[in-house]
Amino acid sequence: MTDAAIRKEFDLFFCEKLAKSFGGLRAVDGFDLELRAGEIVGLIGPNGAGKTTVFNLITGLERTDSGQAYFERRYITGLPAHRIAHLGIARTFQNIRLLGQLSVLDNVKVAYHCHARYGLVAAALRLPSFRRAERDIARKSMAFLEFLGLEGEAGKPAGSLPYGRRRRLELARALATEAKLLLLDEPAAGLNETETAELTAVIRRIRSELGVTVLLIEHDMKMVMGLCDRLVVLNFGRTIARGTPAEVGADPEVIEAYLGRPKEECVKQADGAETAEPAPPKQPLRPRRLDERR
Amino acid sequence: MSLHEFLPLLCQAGIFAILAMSLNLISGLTGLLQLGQAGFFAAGAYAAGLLAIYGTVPALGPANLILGAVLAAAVAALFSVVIGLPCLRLTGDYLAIATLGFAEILRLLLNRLELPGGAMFPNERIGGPTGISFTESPGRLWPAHPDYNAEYTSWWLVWLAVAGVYLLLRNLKFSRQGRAWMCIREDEIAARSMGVDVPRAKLSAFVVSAALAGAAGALFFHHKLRICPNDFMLMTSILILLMVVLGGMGSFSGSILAATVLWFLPQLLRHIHPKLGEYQQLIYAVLLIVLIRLWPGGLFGAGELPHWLGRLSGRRRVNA
Repeated sequence: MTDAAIRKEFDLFFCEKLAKSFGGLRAVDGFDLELRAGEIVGLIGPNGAGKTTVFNLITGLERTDSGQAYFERRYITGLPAHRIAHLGIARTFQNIRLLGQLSVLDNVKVAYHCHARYGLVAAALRLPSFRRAERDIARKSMAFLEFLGLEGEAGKPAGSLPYGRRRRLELARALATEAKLLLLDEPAAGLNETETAELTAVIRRIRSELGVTVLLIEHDMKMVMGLCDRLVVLNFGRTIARGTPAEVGADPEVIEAYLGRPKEECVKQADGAETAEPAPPKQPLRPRRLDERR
Repeated sequence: MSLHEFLPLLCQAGIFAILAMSLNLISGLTGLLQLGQAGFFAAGAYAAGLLAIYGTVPALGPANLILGAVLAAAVAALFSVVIGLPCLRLTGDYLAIATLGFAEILRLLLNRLELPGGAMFPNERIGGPTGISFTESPGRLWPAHPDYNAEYTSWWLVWLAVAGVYLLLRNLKFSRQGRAWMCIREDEIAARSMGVDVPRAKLSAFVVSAALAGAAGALFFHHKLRICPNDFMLMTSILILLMVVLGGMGSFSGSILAATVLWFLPQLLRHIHPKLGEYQQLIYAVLLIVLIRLWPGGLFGAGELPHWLGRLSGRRRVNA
């Protein structure tokens, strides 16, 4: 297939051969990804596999060493992060990055930076264009808070929210950029079973009601298997498998990446199973991490 | 304290209130530690002073002051662009040192600056360590009162400017731009991902801040009519920073209150006992340490006074 044909089919997002090294470490090596509008795709892999680096490359927080990325058939490689955000790619962070001192509502309003079209002078003098735009922003921000069930807490400082709600708020803020592609970095990290189930439902609604395509990094295999249409598995910066959750779950290389080689004695003992073929992972393959420090 | 002593102090307190608010924009709201505010203050004061000496048009009357303030703001803004483009790549302490360096370099250059006296002082040279002076402010809106000395040009004009600057900055704070600045203070990476052009937003905060400090410089010249480079020492920058910290980082109304309190404090102490006035610097230093240690939020935290009033009267800021 030619480049153009690929881009036509995967008309939302397309990247190939993205690579990034930190010193001698190849964090990401030849990463390819195509996204169709309306998909939910999971990016999984053991710790240090380069998943977050992939997000940083896509969103422009870090410059890619080589390769290219297209968003809606527009060449976005090397654009600064804020330009990519303007084009419609939003993200959340593994360690939540909210503005703790600002109110919940103001946190969402920040996301409208892309869309509010009034200048410094209009703001300083409170011209009608400013008032109109601000009313609009407040209304839309409240709508996103309601979408995530946070409307009752609009006036509270964001730092005072409990952990699970902070995750939701970050999601609301990412959505409020009116992005077409949403990158979620471990959205279920630190959540309990109930909260994870709620989050899964929210992500489904994000797709069905808002029409937003989702790419997520997640370690909770139960959630990933149930939610994602397709999975991409990374290990040491390389893509080792891609396909539907069932295909990926049965892939020997994936199992090896997560559990180690079957012939190693310790793995069998730890598993408590002497069967020749390890079962596809159903449970989280490692303890979920609590919120990591920045 | 007689009116004769009080009005000049009130005037200076207002000028420092503007300076404190301008620094609050960059250090309190945007979170960039800036120790060179005296530099922009000096640039504005000298710009207004030189305009007054070389270019006063008597027919314009008070408009000369407005012209001076506009020119001062423009010159300070120009300086801030030149300084800001390279320096704003720095963060934290490094930016503080770089801006401090700028202010000191400018002060030392002004020490060496000597200019012909122009039409006003045809046989003299002006500038240098003695600075520049002017006989009568063209900004005076009414004839000097015989009992008062020439110094306090329309204190109410200064406080009108304070109110104007306050409204302007408060409006900015609750706008798209203000949210972007606060976002940079809290988390730069989040700001970038939300679509904020961080270098540009920093530069805009820096330039607006410097322009306001420059305008304050114009008021300062027209108030004192005699300025010299030593008016703009590092201590001036520190004093402005102390006002910002005392008032609350990010609270413009807090800056006004803190500037007034801190400007009158030494005078009050001098009234209690003449010796106490000598310990002004010591008191400032101790105050800064105690504040940062025990009361980092300052008087008003990050909020604004009218916010409180709004809450008292039951009006909610959270819109429908």
